Amino acid sequence: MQRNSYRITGVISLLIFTILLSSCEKALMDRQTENNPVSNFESLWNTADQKYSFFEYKGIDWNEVYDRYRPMISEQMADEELFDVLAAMLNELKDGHVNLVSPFNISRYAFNWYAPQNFDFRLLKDHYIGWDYKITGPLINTRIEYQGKEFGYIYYGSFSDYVESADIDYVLGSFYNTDGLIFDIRNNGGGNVNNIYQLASRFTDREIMVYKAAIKNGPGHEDFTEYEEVWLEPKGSHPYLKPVILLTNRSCFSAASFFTLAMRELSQVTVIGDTTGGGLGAPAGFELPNGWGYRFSTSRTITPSGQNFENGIPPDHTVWMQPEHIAEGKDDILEAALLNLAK
Amino acid sequence: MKLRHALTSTALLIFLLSSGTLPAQTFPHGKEARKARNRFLMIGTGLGNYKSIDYATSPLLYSGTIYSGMAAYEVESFERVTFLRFRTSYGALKSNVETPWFNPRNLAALATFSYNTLFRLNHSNAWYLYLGPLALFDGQFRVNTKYGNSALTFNTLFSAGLSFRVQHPFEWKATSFKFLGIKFNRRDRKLALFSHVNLPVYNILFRPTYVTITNFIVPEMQMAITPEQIFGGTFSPLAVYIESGVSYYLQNNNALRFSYEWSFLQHNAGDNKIQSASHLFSFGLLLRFNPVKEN
Repeated sequence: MQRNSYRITGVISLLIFTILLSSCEKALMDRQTENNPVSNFESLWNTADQKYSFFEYKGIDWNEVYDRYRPMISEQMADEELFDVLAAMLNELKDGHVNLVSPFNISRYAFNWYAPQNFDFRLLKDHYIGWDYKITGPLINTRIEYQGKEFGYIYYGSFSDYVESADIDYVLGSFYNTDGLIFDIRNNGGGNVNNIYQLASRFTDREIMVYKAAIKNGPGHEDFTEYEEVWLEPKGSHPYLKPVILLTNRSCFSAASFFTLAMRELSQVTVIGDTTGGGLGAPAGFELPNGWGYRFSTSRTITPSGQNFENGIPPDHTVWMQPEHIAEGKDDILEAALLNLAK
Repeated sequence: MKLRHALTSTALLIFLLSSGTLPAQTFPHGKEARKARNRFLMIGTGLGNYKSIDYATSPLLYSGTIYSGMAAYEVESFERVTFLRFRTSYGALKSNVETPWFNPRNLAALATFSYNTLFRLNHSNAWYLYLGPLALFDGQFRVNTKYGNSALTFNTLFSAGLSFRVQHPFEWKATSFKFLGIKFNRRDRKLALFSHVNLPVYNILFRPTYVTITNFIVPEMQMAITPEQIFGGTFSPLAVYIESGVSYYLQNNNALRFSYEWSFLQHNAGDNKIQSASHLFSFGLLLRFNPVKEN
């Protein structure tokens, strides 16, 4: 009987010991950040202040932005009103990589609103590449005859579409006897950066440094890691070393701009069209106390010579599609590319 | 100050790794002792709750049910017990902010690997007290698609520390009893109550970078761990793992084990602060490796 009570005391002691320690959890873990318009505003402003990467480059006075927007926040405001204020504040960053994501709306900065579209795929099909082009993975490809010469043409519409090695090797292999190549990435809004190296590595036969990138590592506006060099290594069975024209427009953003940055370092590549939309900062995502998501750029990328093209990479030759020529079925940018190759 | 801190940590670590050899000398050793050891392979499953606040991406508390699978190799003798354990858990997490029509995928995957050799401190037959060194890996990975490029956050802990175990073996004598009108005959049974504390002391913790992603624009950096991601020190992060339960030895000398484990981890590093806790109820089957020596 005595042994039993001894045992029961032991069991209870062990249980109490474990439960007592686990109940420390409540004391140890933080209480969740308050969820109200002010705490959401403060959380957003502070995180951006400490982690956004282009304040100095863009000359943005973030403290002044705080002074302007903080008075617009009140405890009683509706979610939609709060969203509008926070979205407007984020758009002060003038960055296509900035979004505020709520259940009812997604804010964005229209980095390309003032530029003409400079691309019409229907026109391309009707007057240049026809309707029986090949589709190899995500790469639309065909041959175009111009002034007695034959050129390869590739259209790649989104870096979100994964390019297999076999895709690009097949296409470039089929263009081995062409006189030049047009690589059209107009309207390509970006996507997966791995596709940049998958494609660009087929246009060089030697290692070449294409850009340098640094990422935020502290709360100061200029707290960055050292720049890391990015080198392009030759890949694939058929490196294409003949003249290449890269076509860009203002809707080329993010990974498409990185691709442009890499390709312009190659000696046989000429960029024709419009300035890209930029977006050379890698965006990271975060969350507000009310559960809304948001993202902004947290790194910066420069050319090997130190130029920062965050706001857009200018082409070697700026060409816009003219409305009267579009009406005649003419793509001025593609025409300029063909003329350049035919020279 | 830093030097003293380092020396204290090193001395503590050396003590922890060598302390067990002294009491072992008072017990039988050599071939005879090795033969007497009971060896078990434990296979188990568990159900519990996991919660975390990872300030690298969000100030919100996420929690959810986790499902665990575990395996262990255990060696017991008069003078010491050895545990080599592996456990993996998986679950979907939710925040307590209601966004019913906006529900990105948020998953947690946890893996713990630990090794203990614990040496018996006392000679009491009722309560066995053990103390010994601990080697621990605890990896906690969370994916929330809402965060885009920084969807993956993690805290992976490598640790050398201290373990304490108290164990109380006892027997149930054969008896007959009626329950709901049904007669039950119970045979003699051996059981053991235990409570086991793992306390990481000297730690290395891997976390996301300051902005939660490595510089993925640089291909070599996409999977790299950079110096900015490595933290740690003595009792930093603060972590503790406590398990209590009962082992129920079967007629064939295999055993069943029921246990409850609480674990907690906290690392204060400003924006990179992480807190996590888990509660896990588990059930395991211990398969005896070596035959029981008949008396």
